[in-house]
Amino acid sequence: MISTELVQTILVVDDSGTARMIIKQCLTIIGLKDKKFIEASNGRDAVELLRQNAVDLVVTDLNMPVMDGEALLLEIKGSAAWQQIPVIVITSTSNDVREKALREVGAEAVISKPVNPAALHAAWKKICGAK
Amino acid sequence: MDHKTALQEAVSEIFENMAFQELTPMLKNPLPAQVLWSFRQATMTIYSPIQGTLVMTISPSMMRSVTANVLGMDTAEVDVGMESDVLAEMLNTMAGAWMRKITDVSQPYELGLPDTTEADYIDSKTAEFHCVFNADGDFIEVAFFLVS
Repeated sequence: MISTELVQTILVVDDSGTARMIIKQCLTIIGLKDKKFIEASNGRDAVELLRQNAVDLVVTDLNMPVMDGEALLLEIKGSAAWQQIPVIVITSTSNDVREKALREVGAEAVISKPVNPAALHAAWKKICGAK
Repeated sequence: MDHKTALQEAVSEIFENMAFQELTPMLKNPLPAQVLWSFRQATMTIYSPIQGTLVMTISPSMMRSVTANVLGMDTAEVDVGMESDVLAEMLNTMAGAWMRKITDVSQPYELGLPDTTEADYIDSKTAEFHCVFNADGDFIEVAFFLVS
């Protein structure tokens, strides 16, 4: 079972440095502090970081250049090595139908931007309870 | 809700939530066009359900204080790169919030990637609609241009 204590490395993926900073702040506020944060600005770079690091949690945007978040999600959930890594999608392009579709391909949680600590905390609690 | 009202709400919500900045909607931009030089501008294509371009224009001084608020730093520490990134992310988030207000929960929508530039003037005459806001004496305009 995944828990806050077991998480060591968190991969944050967004083409906006501002968004990555806000996400990291929110993760710190909800208790994921003193963790190693690694960052990528698109899915392709994120895959490279996944190959090089033992990642415990992925938080990703959807709408990104080069390789989008949905392709990254499919890559993670289609890999025997990475499929157990929880993925939280944080996006400006989500509604109920899109959220359901993302959950069906493996996203543990989908959160609309602007992200806030409360929404991220609720998602993280669910993931910890479900895993 | 009509598209303009929804956009006006989305802009106010995003500025309040991300930059802790309260905006007051105005009927029109109070500044004459010739003084609107060197404004910061972000644009973003919306592919569906409506096709067009969303444009946010903001004064440099306002952009600096908004960036400082979003990033939690002093205005003296803010550089142009940070401002561009914050502006783009705010427009991106705003566009999503606007789409959620004007679409049904089952209706998909598709957004492009935001881009930022310097604007030498605000040309909202050809806009489908536009919203102007006052924030502590500074001005922000958000306009939507239909694809012609």
